Amino acid sequence: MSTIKILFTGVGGQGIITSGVVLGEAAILENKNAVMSEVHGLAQRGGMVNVEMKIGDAKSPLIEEGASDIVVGMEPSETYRLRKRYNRNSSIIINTNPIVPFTTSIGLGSYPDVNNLLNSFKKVYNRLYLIDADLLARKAGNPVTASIVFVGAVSGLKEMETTIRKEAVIKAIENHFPSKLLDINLKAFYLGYEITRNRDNNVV
Amino acid sequence: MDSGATKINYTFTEYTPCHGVCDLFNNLIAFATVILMSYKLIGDLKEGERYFLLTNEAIARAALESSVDVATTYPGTPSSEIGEVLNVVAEKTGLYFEYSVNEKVAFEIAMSAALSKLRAITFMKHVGVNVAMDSLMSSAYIGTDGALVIISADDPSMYSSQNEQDNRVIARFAHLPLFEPSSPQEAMDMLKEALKLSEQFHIPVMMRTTTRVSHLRGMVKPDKIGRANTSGSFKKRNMHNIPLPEFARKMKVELLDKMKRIEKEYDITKWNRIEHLNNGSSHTGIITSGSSYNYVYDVAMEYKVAADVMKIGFSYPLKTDLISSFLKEHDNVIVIEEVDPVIEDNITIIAQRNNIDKKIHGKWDGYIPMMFENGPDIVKNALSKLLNRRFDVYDVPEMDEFPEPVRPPALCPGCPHRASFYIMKSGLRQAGLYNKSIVPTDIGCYTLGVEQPYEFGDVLLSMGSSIGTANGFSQFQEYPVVPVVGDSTFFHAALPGIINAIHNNHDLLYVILDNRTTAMTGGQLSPVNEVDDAGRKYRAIDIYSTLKGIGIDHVYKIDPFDIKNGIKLFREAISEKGVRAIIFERECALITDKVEHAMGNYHLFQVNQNKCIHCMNCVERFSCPAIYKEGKIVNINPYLCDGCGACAKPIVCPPEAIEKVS
Repeated sequence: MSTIKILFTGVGGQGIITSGVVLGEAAILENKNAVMSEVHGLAQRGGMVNVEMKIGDAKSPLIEEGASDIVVGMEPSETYRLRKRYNRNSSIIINTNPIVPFTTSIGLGSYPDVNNLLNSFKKVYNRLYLIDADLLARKAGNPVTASIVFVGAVSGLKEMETTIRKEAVIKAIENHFPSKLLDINLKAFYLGYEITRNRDNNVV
Repeated sequence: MDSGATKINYTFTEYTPCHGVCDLFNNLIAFATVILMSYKLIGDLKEGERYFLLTNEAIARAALESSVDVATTYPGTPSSEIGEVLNVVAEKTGLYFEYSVNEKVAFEIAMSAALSKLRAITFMKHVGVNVAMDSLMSSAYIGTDGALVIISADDPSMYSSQNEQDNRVIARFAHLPLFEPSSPQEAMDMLKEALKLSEQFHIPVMMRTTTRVSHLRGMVKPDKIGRANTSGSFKKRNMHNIPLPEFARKMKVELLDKMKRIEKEYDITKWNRIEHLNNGSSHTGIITSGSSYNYVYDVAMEYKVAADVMKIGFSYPLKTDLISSFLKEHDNVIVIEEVDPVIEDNITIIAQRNNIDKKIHGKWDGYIPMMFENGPDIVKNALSKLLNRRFDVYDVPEMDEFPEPVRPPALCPGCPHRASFYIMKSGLRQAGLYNKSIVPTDIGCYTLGVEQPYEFGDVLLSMGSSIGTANGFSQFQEYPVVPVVGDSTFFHAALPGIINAIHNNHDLLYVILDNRTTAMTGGQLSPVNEVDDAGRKYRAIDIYSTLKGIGIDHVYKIDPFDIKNGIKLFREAISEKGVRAIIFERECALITDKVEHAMGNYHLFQVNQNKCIHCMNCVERFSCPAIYKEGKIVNINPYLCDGCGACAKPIVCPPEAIEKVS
């Protein structure tokens, strides 16, 4: 039984844990095993957050160097920071919206030119999906749903078809959110799903 | 920002694209709601179904299922979620849950329950066990009538701790049987077992998790919940519970005998089992525990490594015969564990005592590092070396070079500590003492004051150490000493230090940053609070009258958002002699926001560009994450701004260019 390894990266507060939990709960519905690592504690807000997840026969969610099958990059520079963790053939979904830390204002470090950065990604990776998740989330009805846009984008990937079916993810979303938030989250899911579905790569 | 960097315009009026950052706080609030809901749900899980739970959630659930009567803690990462769950689900079984003032008191309450024929658990982060140590060291001598399990949540690699001490050492030091779970389900099963073992042998039992286990989310099958009983019965037995020397000696004899009996009689085969991965191999024997077992399993399955793996779930006392036959049966043996070579040393001793001449690989010969957490790459390298086999590597391409922005943890927008640091730094500057006065700091969000631009903090050892070290610094050097502590930490460990300072006529200005909560671990109850989230009532302890009551004549109190008067007061206080104290009291912004946002109140400030004189004081000295500059233009990110208005004060913004938006 093969294992799917998913690396999530972004900035604290983007809903990374929510994305992982929804996929994990979908794995339960498919009668599959899932493990996920979380980050809690000391001032995570605005800090780097990585979540690692494996679906299938695995005990630890931690992914060895280069082994990620899927990368959910909720922030471009954070995705770049973890470039040793995935490989040329990983499916890499990157949010095109940068989050520039305030530290650049007080002269601590700098933020890269995001277009150059994304172009550099395009040069080396075979399966790259650049998405404006925040725009799609607003389209869905609330910017908060960006994390579910990513859940949709992950679910649309070919390799997920045999692991967790779309229906299971939708059911997990239905179970996870209170009814008044359900519609916008389902909409967000489909907007993300359509971007990656049956495509080898998609550059928006 | 560098010239080549991305241009981002956050001007509020023409703001359309949100660049991601905008949703941070909205998202956080939505997320907090979901988490809170799920914490409550832990009490309502259906038996037999599968759930995707955090180990800490599973431990809390196990406490309900095994009819634990009493649970105590002082919050600390990575143990905090156990308490957060129990705090909201305790009533499901009638369990008595308490946030105690510190780990020692938490431990002692749990011990008293165990002496009253009740089932008790107490949980804390690894360094919290140090605080409980004095009592913990005698607890096994005295033993239990009910059950007591101490959960130590260790933090290898120090994700949120000041050291990475391996508390398995304490199990041997204090003579406590020790469990080491690897997964949420196992933590659940082991807690139940540990309670039974404690009852059976009348001894406190320890369970050690690590950050990667505490915060591992995985599949859990709950059982049905039990019923707590909080009316205990303490059996008076004169000398039995008092370790006066003559009795203590007797108790020690009994204790060592008890440990021998556990080693002999307790069936550990369920917890220390041998797995034959990929059909096993007499060539390769791997002994492992906790999180490291997970990495061993994954790497072995991924690369089809045939090996016999002894998974140690019960690591003290180790059963000798099981280990010696495993050593004899395998050509190559490696021990893979985190952090110290605790099992490795034990096994080496067993080998030596049983005349088994076998090289045992592990930490001492560099196969596994002597520090920090393990991971799949470390295990892969160790096995590659052991088996003399090269494993496949992935095609990780080189990318162009780009700058990587730094994202250090920072005080939140609206945080009262920022204003307090601004006051103190300004005050010291004006008094010509900046960079001269000594600032022993303490443990809490305000430890971040050490970061730029406040740079407020010179030394830190442990909870409450600010005042203890200040006692010394005030004696051994000439400049003013300004120890800093938060409200929860003040009550946790600072009182003896402050009494010592008064009694011995030391000279220091004690700063108490009272934000009305235990903020860093998620906003748990602090002794200054009168009521908790669930509406339960407490008696609030007032810091001002506490300080007055123990004999400090000069105690000041001010709202840190009154920055101008705060500086004046601080300067006055610093010029005085003897022990004096200043309390900066203002509620944590996250708590204020929760209340305000629930009422639909959102406030927002922005920069009036016609008034801004580009002095950069707000950016460079106040440094709120919501304030940023682009070239010379200063702006406020509307989605990060908390609306606290502290930056709008003329002392931070002299031209009063930061204005409230209606």
